[in-house]
Amino acid sequence: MAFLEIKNLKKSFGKTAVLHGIDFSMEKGEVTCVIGSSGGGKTTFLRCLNFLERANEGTITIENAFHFDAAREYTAAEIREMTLKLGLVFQQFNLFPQYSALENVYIPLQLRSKEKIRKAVPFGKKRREAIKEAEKQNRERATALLSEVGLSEKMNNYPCELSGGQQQRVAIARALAEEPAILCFDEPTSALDPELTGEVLKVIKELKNEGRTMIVVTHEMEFAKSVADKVVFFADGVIEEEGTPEEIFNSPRSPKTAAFLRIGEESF
Amino acid sequence: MSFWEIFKLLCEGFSQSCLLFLLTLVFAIPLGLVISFGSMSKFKPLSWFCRTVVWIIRGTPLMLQLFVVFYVPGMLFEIQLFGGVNGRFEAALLAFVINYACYFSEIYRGGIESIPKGQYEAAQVLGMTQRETFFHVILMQVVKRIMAPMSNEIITLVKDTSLARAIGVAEIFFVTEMKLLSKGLIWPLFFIAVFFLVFVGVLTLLLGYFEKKLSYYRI
Repeated sequence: MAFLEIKNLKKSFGKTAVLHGIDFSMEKGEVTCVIGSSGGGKTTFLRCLNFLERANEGTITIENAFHFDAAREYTAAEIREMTLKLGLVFQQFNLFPQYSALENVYIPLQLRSKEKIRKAVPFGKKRREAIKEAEKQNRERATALLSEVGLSEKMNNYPCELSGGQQQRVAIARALAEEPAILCFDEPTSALDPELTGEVLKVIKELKNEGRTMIVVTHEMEFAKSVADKVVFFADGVIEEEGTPEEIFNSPRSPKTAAFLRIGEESF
Repeated sequence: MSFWEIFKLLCEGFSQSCLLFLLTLVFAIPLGLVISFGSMSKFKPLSWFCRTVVWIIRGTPLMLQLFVVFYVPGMLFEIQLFGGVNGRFEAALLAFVINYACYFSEIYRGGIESIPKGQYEAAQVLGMTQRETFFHVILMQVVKRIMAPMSNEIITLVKDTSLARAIGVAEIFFVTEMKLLSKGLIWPLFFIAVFFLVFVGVLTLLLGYFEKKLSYYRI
C-alpha cells in the first residue's frame, strides 16, 4: 500500500457535485503538484484532505497515521487528531495578526503541548513545571523553524510588518511545527507579487530536498516542472490525467490537459 | 447652604451615578458576550429567543424597562425583588445590565462575524479546539475591531445613568432636584455639566489609550 491512499473521494455542495470520485496515491518523500483550471476541484480536494470540508464518500489513509472513512461518524477530537497529521499552507497566508512571527509558530505548538501535559500530568507543581519546560522547548523549536525559512531576523515582527513572501514563509514554518506527515499548499504564491514568489518557491524546493512529502496546488507550471515527482491534472471534478512532469507537459494524453497547457502558454 | 455642603451633596449623588455606571459595565460586558453567542447559535430556538430579547430591549425605552423591573415583580406577583422600595439601586442596575448587554451583544456579533473565515480555518488545521480558537485567535481581533463602537456605547451609558432617577435612585439629578432646585438654587446644574464633562473626558482618554495599545498590529 502507498503512503497516502485516497479512494473514491466524493464531495458535493448541495446539489453541485465538485469531486466525482478521486482515486489518488503517493509515496513518502514524493512531491505531487496539482494543476488544472479554476472550478476543477483542486482546492476542494485539498480541503477535504485537511478536513476543512468533510467528504461525502470515500476513504483517506496515511500509513502509520490514520484511516478516514467518510461513511463513519467521527468526534471533533478524532478529526482534530487526524488534522494534525497534515499541514496546510493557505493562499492568503492566514497568519494571526495579533501575534509576532515567532508567536504564530509557537502558540499552536504550545497549546498542543499543554493539552498533552494536562492529560498526562496531574494538576499541581509538576504540571506547571512540565508546561514551563515545554514552553522553552517550543520556543526553541519555533525559532529553529523560522531560521529554516530564512526569517531569523524577522522573528519579533508582526505580520503587518512583513512582506507577502515573508508572511507565507512564516505560514510554512507554522505548518511544519507539528511535523505533519504530509504538507499541503493551496496556491501558495497566487496572492504574491511576482517578484516575491521566488523566495517562497525556494523554501518549498528546500523542503523537497529534505525529503518532505508534499502536495502543492499551483499555477506555476515552471515550478511544477522542476520540483514535482508527479503532476496531477484536475478537470471537472476528476483526475483527468496524472504522470511525471515530462509526460504531462511534453506529451499529454488527454485533449483537456493539452488544451489547458496550451492556454497557459498563450497567456504569456 | 454653603458651597461645600452643596458640593458634597453633588459628589454623593455623582458617586451613585458612577457606581451604577461601573457595575453595569462589569456585568453587561460578559453578559453581552453570552447573548451574542446565543444569537449566533446554530440551535435555532436559542438564536431566535436571543434575537427576540434583543429586539424587545432595543425596541422599548430604557425608562419603561426601569419601571418594569422596579414595579412589576412586587405589584403583579408580590415578589419583593431586592427588598422592594429599598432596592431601587439594584433594580436600576438590573435594568441597565440587561439593556446594555443587549446593545453590547450586537456590537460583539458584528465584530465576531467580521473576522475572516481564514482565521478559523488556520486555527483548525493547526489542531486548535473551538475554545482555543476563540480565546487565542479570535477574541483579541474582535476587541480591536469593536473598540470604537464600544467606546461610543460606554460614553452613552455615563449619561444614561441619569435615567435611574425615574425610579428614585439617589443619583446626581435626583439629589439636585430634591434638595437644591426645590430651594431655588439653579447654579448646581452647571456643576452637573462639569462633573459629566470631566468624567467623560477622562473616559475618552482611557479608551483612547486602550485603542492605541491595540494599534501595534493591523487586521
